[in-house]
Amino acid sequence: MSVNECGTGPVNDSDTATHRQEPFENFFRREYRSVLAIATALTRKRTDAEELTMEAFESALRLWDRNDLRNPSAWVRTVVSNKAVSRYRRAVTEAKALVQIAASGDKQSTIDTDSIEVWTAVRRLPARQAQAIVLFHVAGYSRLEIANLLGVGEETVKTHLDRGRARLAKALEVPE
Amino acid sequence: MKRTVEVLEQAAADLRSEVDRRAIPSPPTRHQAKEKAISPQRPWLAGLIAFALVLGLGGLTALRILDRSSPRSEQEILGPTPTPVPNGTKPSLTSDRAPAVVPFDSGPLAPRDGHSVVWTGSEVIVWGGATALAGETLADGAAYDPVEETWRPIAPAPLAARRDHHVAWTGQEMLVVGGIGHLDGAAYNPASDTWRQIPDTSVRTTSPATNTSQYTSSVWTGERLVLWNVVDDQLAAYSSRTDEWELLPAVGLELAAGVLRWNGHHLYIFGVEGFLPEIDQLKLARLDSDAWSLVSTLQIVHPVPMLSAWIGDRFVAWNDEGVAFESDPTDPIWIRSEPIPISGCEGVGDPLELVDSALIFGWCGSDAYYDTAVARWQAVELPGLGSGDHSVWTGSEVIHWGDATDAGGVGSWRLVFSESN
Repeated sequence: MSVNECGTGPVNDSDTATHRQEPFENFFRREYRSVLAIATALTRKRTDAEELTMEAFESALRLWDRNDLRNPSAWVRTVVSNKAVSRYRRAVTEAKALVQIAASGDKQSTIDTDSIEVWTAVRRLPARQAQAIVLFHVAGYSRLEIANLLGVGEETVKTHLDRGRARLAKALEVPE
Repeated sequence: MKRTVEVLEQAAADLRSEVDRRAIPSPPTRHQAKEKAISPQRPWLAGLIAFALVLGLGGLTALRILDRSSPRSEQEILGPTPTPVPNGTKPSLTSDRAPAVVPFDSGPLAPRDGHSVVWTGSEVIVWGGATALAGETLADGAAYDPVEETWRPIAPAPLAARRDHHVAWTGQEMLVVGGIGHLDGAAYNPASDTWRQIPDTSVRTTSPATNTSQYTSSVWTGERLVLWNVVDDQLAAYSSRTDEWELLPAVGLELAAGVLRWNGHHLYIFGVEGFLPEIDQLKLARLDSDAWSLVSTLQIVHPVPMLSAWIGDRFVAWNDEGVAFESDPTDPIWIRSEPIPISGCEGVGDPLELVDSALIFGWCGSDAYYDTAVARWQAVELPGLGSGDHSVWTGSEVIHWGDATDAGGVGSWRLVFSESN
C-alpha cells in the first residue's frame, strides 16, 4: 500500500477498472463490519460507532461514482479512525452521551468486561496513539501500512504504538 | 511489553466477535449521501449546547464550537441578522474536490495594510489600518454581507485612527484594542451599528524600539480577549461580561518573539529566545490556573512562533520550508509529521486557525489546508500574500480581505469548499 492509495484524486487505469467493476453495495457489505470494529474501539457508544461508520461510507459513496478513490478500503478506514479521534467529534459524542444520560452504558454490548476496560483505556490515549493501536490490533494493518494511512513515518508509528502500549500497561496495571 | 500486546489482541478478538454478531444495515443510498452532505449537522446542535452547559463552560464556549460547525446554527444564536451563507454546510475544512478561489468586490474602503477582519456570523467587518503608500492611519470600516454580496459603511468609531490593533468577535460585539501607539479600545455592535468604549489595556501593543506591533499577540478564548506583550512579558485578559481587564501571570521564559494559542481548554504560547541563525528551539508553554509551565521544546530549523496551529487534537508547528512536527499537549513529545506543501516559498503568513483545521499561507502560490476528513495537508493555490489576520472562516468558505496589492487594489477573494455532485 502506498501513501497515495488511500487518497483522493486521479486514479490510474487499473485502479479505475477495479473500482468500476464493483458496485458500492458490495463494497459496503464486505467492509462494513471491519470498519465498524475500528469505530467501536475508538468510540464509547455502539450507536456512535454505527453512526460514524455510516458517515464514512456516505463520504465514500459521494466519491464512488467519480472514481476518485484509489483504495476505497483504506480510505474508509482512515476516515472513520480520523473522525473517531477528532476532538470535535469527541465533544459531539460526549454531548450526546450527556443528553442521553438515562441510557448510559451500552446494554446491547456483549464484549467481555475486561475488553471494555481495555478499549476505554485506549480511548483515553492521545489521539494518534489510540489510532495507531486500533489500526494495528483491530484492523490488522502493519506499521508501514499505518504510516501510509496516517501520512507519517514508520518510525513515528512505532513510537505511537510503543508509547500507547506503555501507557496502557500502566493504566491497566499489566506487567510489561 | 508482550503482556500488553496479548491483552490488546484478546480485546480485539472480543471486539471483532461482538461486531460480527451485528447485522449489516442497508448501505447508504446516493440520495442519502448527498442529503447528508448538504444539510448542517442539526442533531449535534442540542448535544453541543447541553455539553457546554452541563460542564459549566458557558454559552460562549459552545457557541465558539458552533461558530465553526454550522453557519445556520451560529447565525440563529449569534448573528444580528440571521442569514444563511450560501453553501454553508461544511463543519470544517474538507473538500471532495479542490476548493475554488473566487474574487469578490472589495467594496468602498481604500486599500490598506494593518487592518482587521472579523466574521460576525453574517457579515465580514473590515476596520482600521493604514494606507499602503503614505502610511496614513485610518479609522473607517465597512461590513460585507456574503449572501447579498453587498457592503455597508459602519458607524464611526470613538477611536483614533490606528493600525495593527487586536480584534475579537464576542458573539455580540467586535472588540478593537490597542494598535501602534494606543492602549484604548472600543466594542462595535453590528445589530445596533453602535460603538461603546472599553477600559484601556495596561499591556503595550507597541514595541518602543521598532514602533511596530510585532512583539504582541492576542487570542480569543471564547470568553476573553487575551493580550500578550512578549518582550515586556505582560499579559491581560478582557471580558465583555465584566467590562474589565484582568492581569494574567507572566510567562517567565525571556522570549524574543511569541504567539498566543488557545486549544479550547488552555492558553498556550509558542516562543523563541532569539532570532539568530543558531536558534533552533521553539518553546511551548501552558497556563495552568495561576502559573505557566514549559510543556515542551521543539528542535526545528528556523523556528517561527506564529507558524503553529491547533488542529483539533494536537498542535502542529512548521517552518517556511514546510517541515512540520506535531504534538498532543498531553504527551509532550514532538513527532515529525507529513511535510506541509509550502516548500520553496520565500515567506509564510500567519495561519487561519479553525477548531480542528488550519489554512496556511505560503506566499508563493503554494498554500495548504488541513483536510479534516482524511487528516492530511492538501495543497491549494491562493493569490497574493494572504494572512490569517485578514481572513475569516464562515463555516463554508474562507473570506479574505487583504493587503493593498502592487496594482493599488485589494486582494479580496473567497475560498469556497463546494460539495460533490
